[in-house]
Amino acid sequence: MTMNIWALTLLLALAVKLGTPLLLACLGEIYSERSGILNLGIEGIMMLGAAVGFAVAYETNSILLGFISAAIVGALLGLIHAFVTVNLRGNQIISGLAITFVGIGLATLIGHKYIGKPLRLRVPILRIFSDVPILSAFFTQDVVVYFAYLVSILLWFILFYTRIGIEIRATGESPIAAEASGVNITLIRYVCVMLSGLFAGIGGAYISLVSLQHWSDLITIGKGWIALALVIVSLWNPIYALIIAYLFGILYAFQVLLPENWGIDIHLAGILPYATTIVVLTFASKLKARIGTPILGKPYIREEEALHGV
Amino acid sequence: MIRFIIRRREHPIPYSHASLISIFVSILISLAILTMFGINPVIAVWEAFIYPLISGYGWSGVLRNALPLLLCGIGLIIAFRAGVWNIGAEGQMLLGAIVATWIALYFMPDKPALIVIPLMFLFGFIAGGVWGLIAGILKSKWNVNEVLTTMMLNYVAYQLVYYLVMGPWQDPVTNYPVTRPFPPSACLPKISRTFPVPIPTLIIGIFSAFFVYILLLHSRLGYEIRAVGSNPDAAKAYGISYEKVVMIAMFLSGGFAGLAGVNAVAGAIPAQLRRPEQVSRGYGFIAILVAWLAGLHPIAAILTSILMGIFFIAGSSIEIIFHTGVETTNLFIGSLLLVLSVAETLRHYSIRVKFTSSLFKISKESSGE
Repeated sequence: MTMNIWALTLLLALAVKLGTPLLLACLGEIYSERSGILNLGIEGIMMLGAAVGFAVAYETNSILLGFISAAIVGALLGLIHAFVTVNLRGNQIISGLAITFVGIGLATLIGHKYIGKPLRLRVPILRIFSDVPILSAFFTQDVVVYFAYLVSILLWFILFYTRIGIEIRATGESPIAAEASGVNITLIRYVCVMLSGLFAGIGGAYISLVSLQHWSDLITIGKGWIALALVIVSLWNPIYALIIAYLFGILYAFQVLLPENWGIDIHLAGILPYATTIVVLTFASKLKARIGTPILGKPYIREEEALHGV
Repeated sequence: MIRFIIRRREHPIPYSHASLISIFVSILISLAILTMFGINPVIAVWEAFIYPLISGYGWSGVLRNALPLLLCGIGLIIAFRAGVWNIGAEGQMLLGAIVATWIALYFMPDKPALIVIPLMFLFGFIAGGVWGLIAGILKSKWNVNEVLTTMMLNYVAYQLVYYLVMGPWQDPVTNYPVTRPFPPSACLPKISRTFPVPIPTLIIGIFSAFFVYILLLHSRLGYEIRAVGSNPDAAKAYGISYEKVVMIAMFLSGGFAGLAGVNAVAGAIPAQLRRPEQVSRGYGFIAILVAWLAGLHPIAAILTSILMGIFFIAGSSIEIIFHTGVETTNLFIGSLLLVLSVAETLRHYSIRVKFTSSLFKISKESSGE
């Protein structure tokens, strides 16, 4: 019996490791979408974060600098998306896809010379409940995982219990009403979209710096897109995102463990996360119809600007 | 502070102008980025764009790439016109490729070409169409975001092809991740050995472009597709079935991508199923550009697919000549999409940037025109 509990603990620990990049990317995107801007660039931003984070950490021997630079380039790509969609009123879907392609393109250019080079740096691990089964899966992890826990709770608190949170949600649900009550829509959207880039960058860097410790061209393989689906599944709530991202972590853990332990073909097991996402997304979409959601995809053009110019 | 002043244009800028300017701007952006990575832009333009075209040997390559782009592109035009964001042409292509391979190698390996080739295209269309239809049903019944479902279905299709070429369908002779070569009856005939453009795909591609043009702009169904795309609520009020239109649009959209998938295996040299990235090769994504640059017009897509065929060749040449990694073409796709998303707004609105100092509170009256 104790054997089984520790086996389960190992599975959960792996799930937490694999779910953390999903969680980070999902958290930022929740803010972006809550403010009314859909950022489909997450996959590309994660790729670029993974490449830049790896390159900087490899050259400077500092894993912290790697994460910081990944966060910065992520926020910069977010800035481009914000500029195009908020100021220039560009199509959010096309601009987001564009960010994905730019991100992947730049990432392969930057990462090219690091292919096959292993990273010898390690992130410090914080052991809190290392002797307790189950709990140790969550609380014997590296510091970035704890960072993700804290950020989830903090973002949840800000979104639902502070003035700023109310303004963000108002901006997404009814920009006209929000602006009428004195909310600076442009500022809020810029900050939220840049946050989505920042966290996606960190999430991507987590894959190359902590999970895999090397760079390859296929490093994210759709994790950014799955994070986008998880935003909907978590009903735009950071706390739900925390739970759901780690449930998906379990799925990814099975994807790793099924071929090793049960002889299931590695590529058939690879279908698991994507197929599950489609199923879960369908249920979430049925549920979503019953709750309020942000207005996404429509550029906000003030009525008087549209008709007469200012 | 910087203020952006937006004003609606009385006459929108024509689509063709916007497309041409967008292409020019994005070439400049891509070259600027490549220059930052130590690639000489003059040599890149000469080696990748100009030399292959003036020397003539590049044109068959351009057409070989333009055909799948055209087929995927006109498929996407149908979906985009219906207001459905199908970005799953990659996966839909792969399903067409899988079915064509099954017919060529397992279902009728010994039947004559006149039976095998039409059947491959027919079932390839159906397979791609069904793959698109999955997202179409989810979208129309429960409003499931089609960008995400089509993207997920892409990854499922990648994994399926990997499974097949590294598992049950792997060529036992070579042990590479490829299937056996197709029998001669399942290989598409080419124009000539030195100009290896597959004839059936060339005919199907041009025919399909005109077919979709008539379908979209001169038929009842096309009218319904455009009505749903421009205003779903109004379309419903007029008694148009939103669910039916979205499902048909996604089936057709995936179907044309499926045809490109058949071409990708039966028109390849040698004809066989390979690793997924060597089959779909990003055509499904670049086709988004083909569709948008063409202003969602199927005939214009013939021109834009040739243009993107040129860029596809140029992108892979740059990657080979300068060893920049396999996905540098994405850089160009990305910058072109980014510029296009802005161009679409700039066609209808003029945007002027105004620098004002919020510190000194210049009033609106004194800074007005």
